[in-house]
Amino acid sequence: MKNLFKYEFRKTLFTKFVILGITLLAQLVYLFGIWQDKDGTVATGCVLLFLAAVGGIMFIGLQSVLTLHRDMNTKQSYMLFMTPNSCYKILGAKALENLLSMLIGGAFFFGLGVLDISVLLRHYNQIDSIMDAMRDILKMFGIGFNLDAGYMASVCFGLLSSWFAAITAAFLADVISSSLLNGKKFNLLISFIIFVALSYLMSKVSGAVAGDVTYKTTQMVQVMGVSGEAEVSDVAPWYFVKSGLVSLAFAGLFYVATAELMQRKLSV
Amino acid sequence: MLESKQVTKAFGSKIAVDHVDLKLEAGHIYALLGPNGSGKTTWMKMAAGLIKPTGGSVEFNGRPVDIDSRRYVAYMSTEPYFYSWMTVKSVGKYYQDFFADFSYERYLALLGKLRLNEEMKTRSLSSGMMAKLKIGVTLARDAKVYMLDEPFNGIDLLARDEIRACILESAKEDKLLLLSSHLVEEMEAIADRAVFISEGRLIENVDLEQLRSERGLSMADRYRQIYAQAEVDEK
Amino acid sequence: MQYNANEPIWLQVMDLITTDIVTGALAPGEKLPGGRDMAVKYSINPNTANRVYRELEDAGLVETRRGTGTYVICDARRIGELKTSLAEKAAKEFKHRMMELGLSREEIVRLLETED
Repeated sequence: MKNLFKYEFRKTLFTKFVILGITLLAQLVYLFGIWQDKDGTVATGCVLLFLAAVGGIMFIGLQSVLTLHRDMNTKQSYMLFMTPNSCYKILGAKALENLLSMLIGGAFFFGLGVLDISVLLRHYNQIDSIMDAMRDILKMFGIGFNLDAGYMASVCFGLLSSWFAAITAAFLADVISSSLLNGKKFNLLISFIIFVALSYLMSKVSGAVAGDVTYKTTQMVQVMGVSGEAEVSDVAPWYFVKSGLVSLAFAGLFYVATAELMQRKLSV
Repeated sequence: MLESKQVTKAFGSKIAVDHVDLKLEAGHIYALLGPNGSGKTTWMKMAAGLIKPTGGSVEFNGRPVDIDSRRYVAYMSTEPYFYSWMTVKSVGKYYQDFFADFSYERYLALLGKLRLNEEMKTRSLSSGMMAKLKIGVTLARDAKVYMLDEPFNGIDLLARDEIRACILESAKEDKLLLLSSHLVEEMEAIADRAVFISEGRLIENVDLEQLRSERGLSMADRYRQIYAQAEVDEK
Repeated sequence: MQYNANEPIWLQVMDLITTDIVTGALAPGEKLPGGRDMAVKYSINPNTANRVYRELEDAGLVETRRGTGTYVICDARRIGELKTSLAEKAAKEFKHRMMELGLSREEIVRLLETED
């Protein structure tokens, strides 16, 4: 398993370097903007960094699906499937490598974000009050916005889990296409439909378990010295934790189904 | 040691291997012969556990091939299959990581014999060097069964002697070798049995010295007899 | 291929080794390579190599000493006899072919004398 993991990591190394390179570039733009006091450049850097973070994490996930596809449908498949490893291990190494890469990537971008924001705060002292004002303005429009660490962590957990579950769903759809549907017409289209159906099922179940995304409260709002009460909808605190757990359960289910199907039906 | 029982493989409506009963014993080098598309590769891949039969089974020492039998079966495919980032050295390391019977020492010895260098990148190997690398890394395993699909493909005339020597060094009484090649002459002297298949069906599994002494036929002669006949039948 | 694929290969390799023995390329008492090494040396199947040894032993040209290996026999007279019989066989074949070509005895002798 250790060795399988090692080679899965090696297969995705290049992509990771590319993502890292793009992030460094965005970071340079950002820092250059702060150094030169150019707001426009800082904003560009922020957008680029945000895109690198979201795009990077998403692409790490996508790439694992592409790698699995290549590992089943090209001559490279012999490399993997002639080794005395069960499909549970082979797929497990892939899923684990992907999950860890996304977690580490997530932590990296999170840390970078905290660092960059603190640089920004030091540079523009008044940013705290701007943020407060923005929060209140948002509340006026009925959108809650609480930014404590626990909340952020639960959002990250929820998003990463659901993305990971989506990837395992894609694994399953791809294995169905490479085994049961191999050589059939509209193979890829059917497997894509299966993927969409699995994702839809997952979101329905997770919605049913996690309840409503938002709940409404009446809060004091103060805007430009005028205060009043307003109805504000906030994201339910446990929503992301619950939906994340449901996603992980689905990921586990998809993993077992995929590995079992590979074991029984996959010819490379 | 390796036995297929009524093994069948269909790809959609095309039947690649058709109810083949074939029993291969340790201590022999078999030549697997047949025109292109006759099912040689498919049979080997089923024996290697890479392809799942549509019907019937292939057994290694009395048990259907599975994850465990891959420890003892070394398969070399016709096409290159290494990852594009690999060097000759990392190919060896890969085998060492996954096969307990792989010897890096033997691998180095084979590389020397085949004039390959550890630092070479697989991406930039010529087809002949790639063919040698595949053979070298496969034979560096101390497996029970070696299945080499087209080991002489892309290998020039002079290097074929080296390949034959490497193959013969791996042949032992407790081992089974199965070589498929359309270069029939290259296998005349090193194989002792020939398995002829045509259109997915087994034609015969014969002793070559017997074929020569009793009927005065070489493997190539017999090949011509069988497949020329098949062509006539078709017309 | 250095062999005629229509005739048993063990027979051809046995002929090669027999020739080496009578010419002295393989000296009396010399140790022969083991079956597998012989297979590699002559590029033949190991089972064929074993057959060669069995046949050589049956013909009394080599002997297997238990545990140590196979050796060319030391009996110089036996090797001499073998050489003579091989030469006679070759001469007979040569003469037969010459007769087929319609040469007379005298013509054959003259041909042999002028040939280097």
